[in-house]
Amino acid sequence: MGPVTQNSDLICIPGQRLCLSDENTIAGQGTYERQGYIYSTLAGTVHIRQQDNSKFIEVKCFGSPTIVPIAGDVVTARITQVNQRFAKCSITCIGDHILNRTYRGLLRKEDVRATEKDKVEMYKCFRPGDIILARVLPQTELSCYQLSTAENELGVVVALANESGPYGVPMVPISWTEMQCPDTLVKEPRKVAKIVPESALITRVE
Amino acid sequence: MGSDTGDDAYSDIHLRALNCEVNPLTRSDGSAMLTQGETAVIASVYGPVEVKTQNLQIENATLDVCYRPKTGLPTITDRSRENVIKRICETAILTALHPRTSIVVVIQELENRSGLEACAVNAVCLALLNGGIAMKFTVAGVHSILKENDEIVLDPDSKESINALAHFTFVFDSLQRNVVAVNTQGKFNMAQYNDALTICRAASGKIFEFYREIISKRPV
Repeated sequence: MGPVTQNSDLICIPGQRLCLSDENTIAGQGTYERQGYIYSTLAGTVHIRQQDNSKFIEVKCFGSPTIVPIAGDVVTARITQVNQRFAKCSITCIGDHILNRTYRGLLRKEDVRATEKDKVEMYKCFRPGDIILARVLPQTELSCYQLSTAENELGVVVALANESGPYGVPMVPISWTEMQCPDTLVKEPRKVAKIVPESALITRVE
Repeated sequence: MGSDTGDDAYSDIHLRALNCEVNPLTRSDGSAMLTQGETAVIASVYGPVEVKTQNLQIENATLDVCYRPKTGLPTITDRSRENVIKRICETAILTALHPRTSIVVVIQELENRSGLEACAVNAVCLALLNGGIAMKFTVAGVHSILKENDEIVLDPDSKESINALAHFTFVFDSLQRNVVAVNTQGKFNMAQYNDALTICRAASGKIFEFYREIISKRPV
C-alpha cells in the first residue's frame, strides 16, 4: 500500500483501507477507524488536511454530499403555515448547501425571540411564504426539526406584501419589527433578521 | 492499495460478463443498471429523506427496500429477497450518520437468467456507491451451483442451472471477505458447501475490482 500524498487523486470505495491510524493521523469526514487503520466510507477521492501537527484523512464524495440538519446549523426555510402557537416551515438550505429535498421544521412561539417570549404574536412575526433564517435546536420532537430565531441575525429575510400577491416585490426592512413594500409603502409586522453583508465578514490582511 | 486479503486462491475464475450503466434514472439520488450475463437488474437509492413517524428511529436511519418483479405483483419469494437485501444493506450502511431519516432502495428485476439474488445485491451496492451513502464496506454477491458430478460451477447461466443439485448464493464484505449472507437451495454436504464458499470468495475479488473500475470512470 503506497503512502497517500498531500495532493492525492486516489479514488477509493467504501471499506478500502487507506492508512495506519496514530495520534498524528486522524480519520476525518468520509472515513472511520477500525483496528488501528483508517478506512473509507464513501466512493470518492482521498484528501489530506494538515492542521497543526495532525493530518486529517478525508474522502470527498463524487457529486453532492449527503447532508441532514443537525443541532446548531443555521438553515434557510420557507414558512408554510402559521398559527397562534407555532409556525410550520420547510427547510430548503443548510448553511450554503441547497437540499434536493426539503425537511419539515417547526418554529415554536417560545423560540421566536430571546426577550419578552410571552408577548410574541406569531402572525406579527411570520406569514406563509416568508423566507427565514433559523437555527436548528436539539430535537425533542420526533416528527420534525425544531427551529429558533432567537438571535438578531435570525428571522425573516425575504417577505412579500400581502396585497402584492405571489409576484410582488420583496419588502424592505425598516426596523427590527417592520418591513415596508417599496411600491405601495404598506408596512407589515415581521421578526426581521439583521442581515450582515458578506463584505463585512471578510477580514483583510494588511 | 492492494487487496486486504492477499492473493486469491483461484486465478482461473470465470464470471459472466459484467456491465453497468451508472445513474440511468435521473430523479433518484443514485442508481445503477447491472447485467451479469443475461441477468439484468436496475436499482435506485433515494435518501436520506424524511421518514414516516411510525417508522422513525431516533439513533439510526430507517431502511426501506422495495423489490419489484419483472411482471405481476411481488410473491412470497420476492418478499424474501427484499428482506435479505434489506438486512445486507443494514449491515453495510452507516445508518447512525443519518438518524431520523429514511433511505429507500428500489430494485426492479429486468431479466432473470440465473443468479438473480447476487445480481440484485451487486446492483444495490453500485446504486449506494453512486448515491453517496456512507458504508462500512461494499458487498459482492456471487452465485454458484453444484452439478451431478460434484462439480461446482461458478455464476452459471440458465441452461447450466437446469439440472443443478444445489444452488449457492454468497454475499461477501470487502474488508476481509467475510460472509455477510448465504442463501442455499437443494441437497449438498459440508465439503461441497465449503468448496462452493472457497470458489465464490475468490470470485468476489473480481466483483470488487469491477466496482473500483466503475467508480474510477466517474467524472469527479
